[in-house]
Amino acid sequence: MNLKKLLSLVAVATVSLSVVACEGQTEKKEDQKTAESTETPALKEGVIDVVSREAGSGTRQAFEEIIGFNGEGQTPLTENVTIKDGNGVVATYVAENEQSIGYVSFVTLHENEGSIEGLTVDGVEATPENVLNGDYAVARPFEMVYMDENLTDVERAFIEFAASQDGLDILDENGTIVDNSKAEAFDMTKYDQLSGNLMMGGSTSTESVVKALADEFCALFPKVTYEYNATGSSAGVKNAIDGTYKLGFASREIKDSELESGLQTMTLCMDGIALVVNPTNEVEDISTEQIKEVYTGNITEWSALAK
Amino acid sequence: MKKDMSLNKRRVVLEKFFHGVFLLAALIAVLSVALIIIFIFGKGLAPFFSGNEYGTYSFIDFITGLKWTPQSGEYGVGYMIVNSIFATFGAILVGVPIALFTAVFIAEIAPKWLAGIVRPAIELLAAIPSVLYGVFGFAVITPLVKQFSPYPTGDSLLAVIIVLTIMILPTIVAVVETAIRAVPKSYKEGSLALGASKIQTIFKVTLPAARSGILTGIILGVGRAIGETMAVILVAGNPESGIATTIFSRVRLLTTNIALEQGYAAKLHEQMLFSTAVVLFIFIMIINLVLAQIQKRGGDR
Repeated sequence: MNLKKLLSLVAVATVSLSVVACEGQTEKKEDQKTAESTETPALKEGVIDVVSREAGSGTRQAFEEIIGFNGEGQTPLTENVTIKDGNGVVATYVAENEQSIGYVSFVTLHENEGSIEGLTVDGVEATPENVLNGDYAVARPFEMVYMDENLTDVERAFIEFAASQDGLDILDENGTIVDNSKAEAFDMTKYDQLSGNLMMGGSTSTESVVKALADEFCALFPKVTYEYNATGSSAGVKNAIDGTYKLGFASREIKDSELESGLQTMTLCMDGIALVVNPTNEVEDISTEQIKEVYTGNITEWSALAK
Repeated sequence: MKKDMSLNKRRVVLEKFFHGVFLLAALIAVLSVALIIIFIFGKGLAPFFSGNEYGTYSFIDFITGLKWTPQSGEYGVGYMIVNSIFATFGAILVGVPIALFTAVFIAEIAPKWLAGIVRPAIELLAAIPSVLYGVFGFAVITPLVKQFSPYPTGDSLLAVIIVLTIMILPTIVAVVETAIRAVPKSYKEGSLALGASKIQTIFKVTLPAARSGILTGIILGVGRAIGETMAVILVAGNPESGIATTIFSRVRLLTTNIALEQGYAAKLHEQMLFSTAVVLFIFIMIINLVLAQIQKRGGDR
């Protein structure tokens, strides 16, 4: 091919690309003008930029479970969404973008204080204290469940370990919220020569923290081994009742119907998620219902959230 | 005499030994490619055949699907394929003219001292790790794009194209400059002697003579652009559905899809990410074939 032709082709294509771009822009603006009152001058003003995490992220799963969307038979996540990988990336992005809303773990909010702002949910501030006393809504318990008659010394020791200062420290290190004001140090002398296998299973969300606990526990008692089957919260509870798992784990509250069989429960720790916006954003509070509407695409304008 | 023999023998052994070393080195490369292909294709094609342990998925739905929502079991990469092509060709359209003129400038026009500044600068551009381009894009380009965008975010196809354009410049410039320098001096001298100006000579003689090198540069640029991940992931927005309708639309590309979700994926989801890798691999293979073809033809002339 003649090189001159090639060059002119490239030039023409470049120009046409930018023309297309401009057209796209004006088109959008016109659409918006006809669709809405003329009070909002540009489409970008007032539109919520919804930020979520990548599929499979534990924080995202927890968030969607708590708020109640994107699950089976539930309203799906809005298609108009920006996906960011990692709590830190969401924080940096929201710090840069005035119209964004995202969600991060409490730890991330704390680390980025000043550059992002946590919204109050139903008027309650996102603090570990408010999660522990049950006031903050975007939170959930990590529950351990078991049938008393199935337990041996190995499980009893593990339950005691999980509730001790040592156990709570591990949970704390793993980013969950714990109340260790009344905890005591773990006394392992009671369980001399402990051996056996810890058969556990349940929620995929609790998997990493339970494994962290179990690793430490097995280091204390070298003859103890453990197994954790991540089959989901409901399976965890069901299998704890029928004895398949000696200890079951759920990343939600245990239902009354599940307690009927005489199941014992113990809250290991709490998991909380903060809704974050840019510091320039004037909205300060959001209700759980509004969170759902925003993330399923029913509310698209900040004005719907402002009071 | 005896001593001579042993010396000879030792030489033969040494020869054979180094033959082996060279062969081994070559085998490592070939083996790696073979293993990667077996691994990716083995895992990536499994979901399309019946009897897969995590359930099967229709290949047509996969290739043409416009939605990637693993939680609801939809795995469509159609929109990512189109977006990847948009981003790559966008970067080529903008980057090639810039790279071409830069190469001409360095090779033909610039005084030595200036070329001595521009060339190292371009080479340095090539050495910057791609994640730094991403951070630059995140901190500088997306806020800039946001100023003009009708949407509230600067994460967009345009931001991706700008980042990729900068990234492919050094690759193309280096190859094109070498190609221009390889054009025999006699061509140029002939042209100038016939009364053509310097610019006329560049456009009518030098560049056409270097066209096979230029095409090689472009194809290498395409290869770099389509495979780029870390820089793109930070400025693309990565939505779960949708072909870009404007250059301000957020896009998800094939590469970013894999990098985003590989960390958490399990079972069918993980396999589908490998399937995405298969698509990407096929793209790269096509590019390499085209490249080989061009170089072969260039050699024939």
